[in-house]
Amino acid sequence: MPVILVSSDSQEFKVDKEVAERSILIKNMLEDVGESDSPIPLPNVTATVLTKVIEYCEHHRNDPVQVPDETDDPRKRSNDIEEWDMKFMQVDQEMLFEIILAANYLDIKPLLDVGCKTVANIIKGKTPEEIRKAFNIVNDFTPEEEAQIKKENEWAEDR
Amino acid sequence: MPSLHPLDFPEILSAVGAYLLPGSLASCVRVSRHWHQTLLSLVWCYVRLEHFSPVAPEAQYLHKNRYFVRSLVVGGDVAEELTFLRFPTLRTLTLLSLNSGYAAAMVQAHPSLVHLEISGGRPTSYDVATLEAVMRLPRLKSLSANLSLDEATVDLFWAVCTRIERLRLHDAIFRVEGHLDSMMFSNIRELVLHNDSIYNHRYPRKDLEIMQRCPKLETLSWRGCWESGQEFFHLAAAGTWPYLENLTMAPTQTGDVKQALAFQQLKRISFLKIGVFGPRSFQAIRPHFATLKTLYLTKYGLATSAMMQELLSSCPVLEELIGDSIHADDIAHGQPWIRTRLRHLVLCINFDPSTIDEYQPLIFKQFSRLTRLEHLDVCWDRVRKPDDSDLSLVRHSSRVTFPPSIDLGLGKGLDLPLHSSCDMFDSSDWLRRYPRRQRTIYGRSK
Repeated sequence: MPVILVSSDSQEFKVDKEVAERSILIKNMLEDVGESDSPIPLPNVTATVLTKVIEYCEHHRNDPVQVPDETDDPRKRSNDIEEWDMKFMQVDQEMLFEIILAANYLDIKPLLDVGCKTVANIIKGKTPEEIRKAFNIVNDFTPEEEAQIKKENEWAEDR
Repeated sequence: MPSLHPLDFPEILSAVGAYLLPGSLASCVRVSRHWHQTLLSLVWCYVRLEHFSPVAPEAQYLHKNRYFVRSLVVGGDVAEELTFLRFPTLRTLTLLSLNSGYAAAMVQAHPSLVHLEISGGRPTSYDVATLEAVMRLPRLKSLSANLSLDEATVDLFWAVCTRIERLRLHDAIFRVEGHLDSMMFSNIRELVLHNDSIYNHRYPRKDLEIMQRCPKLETLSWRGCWESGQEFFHLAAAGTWPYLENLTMAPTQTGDVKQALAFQQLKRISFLKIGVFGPRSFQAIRPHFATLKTLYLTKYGLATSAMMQELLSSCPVLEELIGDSIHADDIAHGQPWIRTRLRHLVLCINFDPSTIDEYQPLIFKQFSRLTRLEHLDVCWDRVRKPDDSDLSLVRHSSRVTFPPSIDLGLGKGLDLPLHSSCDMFDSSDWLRRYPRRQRTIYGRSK
């Protein structure tokens, strides 16, 4: 049973219901609407990004549904990205963040996780200045403020 | 360029932060005010205070950030000024080898505690004050301790057991029984009972008594139970623990048949790590293939090659399989392995040398389905060879990292322990000898 998704720039995408339902947002919408053929508008997602998202959902259509892990240690691993996912995420930074935003909006947790892990891997091992350069972030601390923050949190640096 | 960068959204930045270690987070909080505000809590989430550790925060900063600390490990000989600190949202506290007076004070001062671990070298006699303080923790869900209980404290301990969900006892000593009567520990879902010390055998063992009072038990890890194993399976077969789905047990004297009767009573099996495993047990866990995540068999079992093949082709959520051995022809001619979440596979692959060339491509085809494989062990050491005097040759393995040209998803972080010292390892030799051909095969099978 195909479902029609419409991107913000009015492009239509026909996908299997099973694939579309990897997005919890879409799944809930379909449950509310019932047996209707009307296309689902996604005003927050452009066609290029939606293409990538659908590609991900197609590849992972048979994955078992993830059960939220209730362990208390919030530090998770970021070095266990599947090879296909890694290749899938080899896009420019702008697209990477568009995918993350789309995964967040559409509520596709596995894709959001992979995106966040990818960004985390970019951050790893970098100094604050290198991080700012990587993401074009403006430093709004005075030198004294930054030095104070460094002092307070220095103990965590070696861990 | 979007006007608002995704990392400006605190929920996205926090989600990224969850995958960063403290070292990276310490750099992140210096990046900008927004990053500082969003990620500082993650830096201070987990704190370790030990005398020998050079990486402890200064007391004044600990105090300043005390609301962020959720998990604290306090070792012995901590600077005194640090012991007066209080953490209002602390969830997890681990006290290592501290005197009991301090333990009581720390526990009393942190009513937000959910998980408490008090460990040390030898079982410590808790004074009444500490156990009373534990009893008064309104949110306590799990307790891990090595205890020595006497008349003054044993009943307090049983009272704690009626409230918690997870109990871990390491080398516990019960000098007296106390008043168990018809007490039930209906909240306990997870029980870890490890008895490794050889000095405790003169004290009555309370393991089975405790277990019998946990009707909602889901996870059990039991070590040091050789003599009581049979009784456990007898009770399990009578339906004492209908919710049990994760079981780790050191080998007992129980046979395959009795064990199978116990498995039949379980509604669900996720995690199984046991000593004995034969055809009856296999039959009994077949209905649970859909939920089986981990199966860990030692080499004392009677698991056959056909069983291993069936497991690999029938269990969709299997993540770890540590088995004995499998025959190459079973793999080659068997059902396709499921594209599983299998991360960890230990199996010795037995080859008949004359069939290597014929079976290799088929075996690689099976392997290629394991896209998430991280650890593969085809070491001969796992094979039972009780009469083989050459067993000494198989003792030492050296780790060889697989060349990245192999396109099985194995190149990334795969540990492949191989015996480099002995010639008779045909089973692992083929992986070394045929990488080029393998790539061609993988390409052809697409």
